[in-house]
Amino acid sequence: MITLRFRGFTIGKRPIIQVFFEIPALKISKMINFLVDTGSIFSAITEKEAMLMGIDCSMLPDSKVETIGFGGFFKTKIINKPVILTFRSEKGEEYKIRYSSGFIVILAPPNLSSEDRERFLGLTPNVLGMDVLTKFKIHIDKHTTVLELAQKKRKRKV
Amino acid sequence: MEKQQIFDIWKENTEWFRKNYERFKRKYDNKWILIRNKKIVAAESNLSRIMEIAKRYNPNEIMVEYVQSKKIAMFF
Repeated sequence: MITLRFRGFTIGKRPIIQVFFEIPALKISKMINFLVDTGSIFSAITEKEAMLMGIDCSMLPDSKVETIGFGGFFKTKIINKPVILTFRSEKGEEYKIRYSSGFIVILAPPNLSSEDRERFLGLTPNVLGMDVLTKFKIHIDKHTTVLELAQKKRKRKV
Repeated sequence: MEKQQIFDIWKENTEWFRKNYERFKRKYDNKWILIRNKKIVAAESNLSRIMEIAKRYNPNEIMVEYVQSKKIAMFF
């Protein structure tokens, strides 16, 4: 077995990991900082991140999953195309996760004032939830976040 | 742009943002900042304005972050 280590940061006491986010069908890709969130079942990106990728969120279908946080219910959409998440290890190896079940996009609730909408979009993180995190062992301290993945060593063909 | 290069650029910008976060909180409170090549190229109070500026750049070369000095309790 070999262990791949993916090292992130802890920013403002929040564990963050960098992921290359791709939607091959739309030829869209972008690096995204994700909060390592073991309290979340699903992974999600924010409306802000979708906008930066050039996605018009009003065109996305509604998510069938009801979404609730400590602030109450909020609106979500889904990217109804397969998404590929690529992690890069300390040694430069890439590990890809194909996500085909509809990646969630978190939208600001429509009834917010413009000031609160700015804050909502600014402070809500992209989250890497347990749908992805169960593949890894997670280590977090004051400065770093490390995801570890044990993989079987591939046999070389002779 | 190669994916490895994109990872390197992103890591450098994120690390730079993390190291300077306290300074940014004093200077850019309640603002959106656009980071490119470890420099702040724009700071705006309005997201749609910073998005307009962001369109000028390759999305893999920039970071857009919101800065707030006031401590906020976050629960997810």
